Amino acid sequence: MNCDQKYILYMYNWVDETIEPIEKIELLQHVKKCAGCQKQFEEIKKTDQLLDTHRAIKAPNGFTSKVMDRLPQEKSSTKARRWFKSHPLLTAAVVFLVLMSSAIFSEWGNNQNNPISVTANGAKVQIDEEQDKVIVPEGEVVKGDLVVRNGDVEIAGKVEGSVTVINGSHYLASAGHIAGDSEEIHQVTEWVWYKIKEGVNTMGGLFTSD
Amino acid sequence: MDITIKRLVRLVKKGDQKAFEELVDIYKDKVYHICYRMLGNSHEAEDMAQEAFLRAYMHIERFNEEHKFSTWLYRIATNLTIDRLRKKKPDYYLDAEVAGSDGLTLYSQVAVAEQLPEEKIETFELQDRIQVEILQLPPKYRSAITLKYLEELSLKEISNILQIPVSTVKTRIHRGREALRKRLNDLDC
Repeated sequence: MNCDQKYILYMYNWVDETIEPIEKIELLQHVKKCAGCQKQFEEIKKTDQLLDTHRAIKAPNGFTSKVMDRLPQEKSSTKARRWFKSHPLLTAAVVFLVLMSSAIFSEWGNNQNNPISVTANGAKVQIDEEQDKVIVPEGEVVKGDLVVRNGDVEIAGKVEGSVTVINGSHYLASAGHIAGDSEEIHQVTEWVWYKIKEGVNTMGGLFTSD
Repeated sequence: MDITIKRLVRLVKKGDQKAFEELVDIYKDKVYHICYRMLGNSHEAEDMAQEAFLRAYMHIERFNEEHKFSTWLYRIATNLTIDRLRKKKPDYYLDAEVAGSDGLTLYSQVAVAEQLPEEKIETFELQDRIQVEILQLPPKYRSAITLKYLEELSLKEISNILQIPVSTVKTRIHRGREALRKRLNDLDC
């Protein structure tokens, strides 16, 4: 078998599908005449087929989880970041809630430590710091709403608007009178509700004043 | 495909293990294939393939995103298996060839409880046969042939993985295939 070595190259180009059309014709013509090269060509094709069985080789079951088990611990910050990325709406909700609640809680917390405060629309009310008590004396008229924080309120006079007591309670003396609603706020939830109502009222006020 | 891989690699660089898990899933068969062809033993191959992924994870910072991730990953796998072959002490495994037995493995000496279907035996034998012959090749031919048949890798890509010139890749593939052809057909006679 003293054939031109180029035919072997052509045969490999054939199995690799890189053979030129002209080479293809040349090879086929030669192989027809030469039994030795024909045998070799068959062998090359067979070897190629045997090698081309990569699809049959698969990683064993559970391979991925075994690799993952061997990895060093992931930083928790990365986990959180990935969670936020995959849940954008929930993230927005969480951010909103965190900001909202921190604002509300800080105000609520301040209420509990701060001294008594009164909004009485300019009416002359007495503040008893020792007992944390606000007294609307008999004969005094509050022309509007009365809001007391961090203390009780005793009403012997008159309130033309509503009475709101935050973090305290109110007592209405027999002679006292409240024209509007009266409300006591003790819990955070109530406080939140109060803030929302206040917000809505302010907005309502804005719209009506326009 | 390439965009997905790039995105995943970027996430892994930030420490995202979930993204790495996806990469493992995409490449596990290919990496295992390299290790199996190079080592010829499924236990060792699994071990080395896992090791390759671990190294890729640990050194992901060193991966240059301008290159193909698969090239880098396959290079890690081939280098690991070549190192392993160099250090290899004689081990005895069921699927290792029994010396002087013309491709017989210890499997053939263990009673098979369940009879395999005819077809299965045939493909199993062919697979085994080609694997045995590949293991007879020197590792440098083995790696070139393995990568050549791994997937549609160009000669350029193979040369990048093995870090040898394209002309050398060509020679090794050619010599490797010729050696395989001769061995496969000698045994037939």
